Amino acid sequence: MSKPTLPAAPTPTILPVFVFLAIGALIPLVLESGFYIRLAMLVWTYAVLCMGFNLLYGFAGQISLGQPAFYSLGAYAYAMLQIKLGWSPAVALGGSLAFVAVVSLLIGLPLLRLRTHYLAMATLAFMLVENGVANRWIDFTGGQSGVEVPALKWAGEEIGRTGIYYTVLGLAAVVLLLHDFLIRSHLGRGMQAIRDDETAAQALGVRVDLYKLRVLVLSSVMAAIAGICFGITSLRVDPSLSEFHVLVSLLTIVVMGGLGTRFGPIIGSVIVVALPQVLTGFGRFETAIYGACILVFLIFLPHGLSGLVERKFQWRADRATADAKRRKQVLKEEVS
Amino acid sequence: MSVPPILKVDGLYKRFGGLIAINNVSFEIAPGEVKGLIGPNGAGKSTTFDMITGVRPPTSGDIWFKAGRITNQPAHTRSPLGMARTFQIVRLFRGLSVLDNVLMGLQPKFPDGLFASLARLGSLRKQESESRDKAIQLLEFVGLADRAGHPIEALTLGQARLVDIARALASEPQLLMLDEPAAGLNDAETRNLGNMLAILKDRGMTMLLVEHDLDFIMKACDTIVVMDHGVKIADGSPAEVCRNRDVIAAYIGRRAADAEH
Amino acid sequence: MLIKLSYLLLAGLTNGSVYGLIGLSLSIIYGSSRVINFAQGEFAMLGAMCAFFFMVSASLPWPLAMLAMIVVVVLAALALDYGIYRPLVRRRAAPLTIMIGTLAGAIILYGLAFVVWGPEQKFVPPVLSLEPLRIGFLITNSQQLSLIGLFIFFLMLTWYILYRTRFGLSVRATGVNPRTALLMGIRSERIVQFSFMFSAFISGVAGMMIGPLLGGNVGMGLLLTVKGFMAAIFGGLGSPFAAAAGGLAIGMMEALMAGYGTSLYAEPSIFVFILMVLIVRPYGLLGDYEAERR
Repeated sequence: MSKPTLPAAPTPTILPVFVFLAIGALIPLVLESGFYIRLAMLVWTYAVLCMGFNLLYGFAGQISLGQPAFYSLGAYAYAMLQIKLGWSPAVALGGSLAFVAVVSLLIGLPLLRLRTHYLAMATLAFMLVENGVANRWIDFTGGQSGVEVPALKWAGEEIGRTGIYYTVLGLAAVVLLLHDFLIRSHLGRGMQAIRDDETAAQALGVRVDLYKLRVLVLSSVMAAIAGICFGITSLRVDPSLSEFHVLVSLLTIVVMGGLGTRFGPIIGSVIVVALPQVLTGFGRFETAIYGACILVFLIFLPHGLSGLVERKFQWRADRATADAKRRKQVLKEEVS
Repeated sequence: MSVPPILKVDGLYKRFGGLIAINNVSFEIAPGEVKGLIGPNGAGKSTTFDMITGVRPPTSGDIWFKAGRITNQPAHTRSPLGMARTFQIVRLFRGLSVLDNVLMGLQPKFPDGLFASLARLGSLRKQESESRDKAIQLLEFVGLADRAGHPIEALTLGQARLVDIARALASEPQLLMLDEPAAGLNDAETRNLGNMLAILKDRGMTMLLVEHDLDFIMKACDTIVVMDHGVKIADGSPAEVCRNRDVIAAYIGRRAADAEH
Repeated sequence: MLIKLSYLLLAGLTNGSVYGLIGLSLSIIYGSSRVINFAQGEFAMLGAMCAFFFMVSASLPWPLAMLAMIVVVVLAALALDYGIYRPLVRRRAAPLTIMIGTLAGAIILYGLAFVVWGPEQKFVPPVLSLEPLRIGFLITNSQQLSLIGLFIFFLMLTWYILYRTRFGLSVRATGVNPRTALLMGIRSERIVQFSFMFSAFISGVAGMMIGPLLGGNVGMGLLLTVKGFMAAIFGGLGSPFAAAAGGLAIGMMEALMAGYGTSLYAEPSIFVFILMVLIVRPYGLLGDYEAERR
């Protein structure tokens, strides 16, 4: 009798991540039109913004409606550090991320004591404050018209659209890898535990408050990276980055893509960026259809499009089953 | 020369507003001892349990664990020290599989935080697979290995209790604290639980049991603390406690206690 | 000095009444269903835009127009209940998911209103007169005064329904524990439906009356929703009256800050202030009620 082969534990592979990145890397080679490359950059920008929110709300269960504020702050800081302080783009990138990290820490320390609706409302208030200041502090932020973001340069020359695209893709790749690592590792498990039952997580030695704060800071930094992507793509930052429609896009993406899934943010971003291109035919109905889409997904596809393929957390369960089978096999062999 | 106790509760006192919920309660648990904590409803068992597990701080008094004073340390510090607990109302993580729930008991052994984890990326995979093996073994111990991949909703109450115990055991505690583990279980499940606790006791596990079910606790425990109205009224072996006048009075009534003597 | 202060207080009272009414509406829905309704301001927007539509486009007299407006907002509330709240509750969606659902509802209502009325500012005719009215040294108009009157009226009506009727008792019971209430024969879906309709009615009337003062456009709902939120969390979401008081306080602060400080930063400063209040009192200034229950 042949020895039965041990079932391989279906460790969730990192392969899909590389597939997404490979597709991303091929886009400029396939699509020549500048318009489509701009759309692709917008997809990555939104995907980065939404991955942060996905970790925070989809996994750790802490809602923040203030993500557009961090998105906007990241972009403003990146521009200002270059314009006002003359920092180089790379240093300004680090500086603006550090700045947003500190701001989110200061916001998170008091606000994370709040729960559910109160947390949602308070973070929304933070977004309105940020937007109010961006609009009104005209001497510094340029008010409605915003500020110009210096173009990226390489060896003294402005880099072209393809160069900008690969810069955005590079930033997105870092966030995507981090996002995926967190979800698949014990840290993702810990975040889900906090979402499901804080008291039990605490009893098991998880420092719940610290975890929440860290996830908030991380997701804010991811939002800031998205803001910087937006800045280097559009070369302008204005208060519209923290306006309500950004929040609506963000929620639409995570709901349609699938909240708390591995690839929901990317899939959702592709759809939300592509949808208006398709919907232009609907003209005045566009906004209403946007709302209807969110609603239909919430009711009929609560795990989003990504959930259709991924089955939310199914890989965790499959892996556990396979672990158990393998162990049984090992025991059987030891006995015989 | 006696062995130093693993847990020492010293003059615990808790006041809620004007109500004194716990008044000067002291007891000790020796290594390897299984201690029961019983009392009628409202006796203060749960409050005492909450204070030992760090859910709420006492108004005064001290709690010592292995020569360290842990009175006001927050709940999350208990597990790394070697104290583990289960919950009366099952509090498993609904979004995680059975195995992942048990794995959460090993969480403090993993690197804490993103950067620490990335720094130890190499050894992380090995740690994960070793942890999974250990978690499966614990599920085998409680007889639920074939449920490893199931969602929590698919478990019966008795099974959920066992997963909770497996999760608590995962951290290799020196003191296991069980909050009414038999509540809501049927006879077969209660017997099964009793056997399991007996095995743990044979392996030298120190335990503190809060329980309603007197039969269950008389069989399972070496010594029993009885509380009534926030005060400790007896502390001794099951046989001693059964004969104690105050205990009979608290449970059955003063007259029965008098009739007995 | 005193005259200026009185004017400011009157203006604050007027705007505050509207914020308070929306906060009150939000709190009524929250009380019965634990849902924050993102579409609350849209009901007020519908109120204002329907006033324009029925009084100007259809040239109906105001009582008929108001009736027609109430029909529209109540239908919108029913759509929200049957189309969003019930399907999500039956699928055991989390409260925050339902909140996102109401946000979708708000976007749909805004989107449909946009299709009907377009983005332009519309002249919403006053129900009562905008003619100056002199009370002592104050000059006001009856439309402005009617808002304050409505605020008091709806506050009393809500109190009466909640605390003086059997139905109100069921509403309060459902808010405390929907499952137990169900066991006692209270149909919580009916209660939630009533709270949606009643709060839409309040917000719709408030929108109709504030329309002539603020000017009506289809985008006005969001700002009113946000002000209502702030009113509710400032006062305390758990009690309709605390939320209403929060609205008044926000209206007053806005007016005083605009009058004595700079109107430019009035709004952000108030939000910062509310954030600080939340930090000190996580359930709102008057929010012990709910904190105790947890």
